[in-house]
Amino acid sequence: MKYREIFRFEFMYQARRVRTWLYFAVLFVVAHQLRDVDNSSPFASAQETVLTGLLWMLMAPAVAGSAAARDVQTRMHPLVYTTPISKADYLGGRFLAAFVLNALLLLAVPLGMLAALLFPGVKPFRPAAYLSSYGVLALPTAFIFTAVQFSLAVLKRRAVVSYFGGVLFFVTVGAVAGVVTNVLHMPSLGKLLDPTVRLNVLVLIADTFTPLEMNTVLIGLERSILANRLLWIGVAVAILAFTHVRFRLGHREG
Amino acid sequence: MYPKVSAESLLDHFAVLKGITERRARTEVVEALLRKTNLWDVRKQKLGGYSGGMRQRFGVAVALLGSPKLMIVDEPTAGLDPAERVRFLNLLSELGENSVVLLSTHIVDDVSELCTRMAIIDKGEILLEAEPARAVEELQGRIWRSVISAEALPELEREHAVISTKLYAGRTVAHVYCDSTPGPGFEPAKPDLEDVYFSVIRLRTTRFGGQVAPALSARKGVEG
Repeated sequence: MKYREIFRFEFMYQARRVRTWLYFAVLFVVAHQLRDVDNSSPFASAQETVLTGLLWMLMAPAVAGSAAARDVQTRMHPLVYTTPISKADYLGGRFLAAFVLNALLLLAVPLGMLAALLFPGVKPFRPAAYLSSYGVLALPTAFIFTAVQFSLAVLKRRAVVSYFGGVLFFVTVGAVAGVVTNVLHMPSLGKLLDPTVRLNVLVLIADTFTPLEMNTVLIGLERSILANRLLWIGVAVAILAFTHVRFRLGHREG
Repeated sequence: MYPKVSAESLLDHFAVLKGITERRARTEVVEALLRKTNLWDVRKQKLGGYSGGMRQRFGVAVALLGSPKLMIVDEPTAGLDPAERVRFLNLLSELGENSVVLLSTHIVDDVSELCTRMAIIDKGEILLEAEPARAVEELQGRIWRSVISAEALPELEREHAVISTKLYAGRTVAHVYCDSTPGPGFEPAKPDLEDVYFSVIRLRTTRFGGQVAPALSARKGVEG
């Protein structure tokens, strides 16, 4: 009950903010504009999902950061932390709200792409392409990055840490994956190490797929992608568990 | 406070967190508390637009959810305008009828207006524990005032147990503690709680401490 109430309150709080809808609108428009009406292949959907996902990463820290650190930053925490709630209720409700908000924001991407279908003469609608892009590419990325940004802001008690920490995380894993793939020539490991699957989808698959494959294969069901998702969801869960252990419903840090 | 939410919905949220899960009970409690804290008319307003005093009262409303038996308020009137301060003290005194309110403040007037019992704490030590009215009474006839120039102050402090000095219309008004009249140039002053406070705090560390102690500290043994 308390967990649900914390989720509901946080979700509604951010859903009522103009900022949230602005993010949605931007993602929708960008996804719509990126769509090439002559090429709505599953590969193009995947590519656009990954690209708009990079844009989303600039918005996500605001969502995760404020869900995580608003209490401390508005100095509400003495009132909130003294209510009889558990750490799991509190962190769980807040995190889930941030994740669901982000997931809904990212829904603007397939919607934006679908809106392009309204034009006459566009290729047939293949729901599986959108579903797999959203479900396997966008959602796990949202989960991983929300977990990282949320945890940083909770433990450092400042929303802005979400931004810097999130960007740092993004740059670091991207660089490591790049070095492993291009310098050490271990592409299968490199594919695993990039939680945004940017490298895999935008570079490796783009270079190796034949036009026929691009039109037919559902990227989201590629083995290398699925392995990557599983690995990083595991990492995200571990990060959340760590946060739960370290977090204190108390006055001071740590 | 979260700036972008109304008092009503935030209080309702807190009610759930405090375990008042049944919707109708919650609506009732929330309404009662908003009325009690005089926030009912502004319940739909966003907290971001609340004044300091309104926020304080909202904080009390949150604290009162689940009817606590003991409430500790730390410097509640700091930064409030006079009207808000009076309203807040009235609220606290009302709460004091049903539960224990522990008020920590450095504003002496708060204590004299509100408290039935008080303690003066300095550096972690309780120097005096008394009823404010009784403590003031104890000082009756022992506080003297003298209007002096600033230069004469050091000498006065050597001779007498000066407990406080204040500027009044550009002149220095000194309050002195003395069991009998300290001499010419002094007139009896009507003691107030501030005199109690200063005589306990200021004279503690001076050679006059021994004089003041018996009059006030006697109570400590009786009541403490």
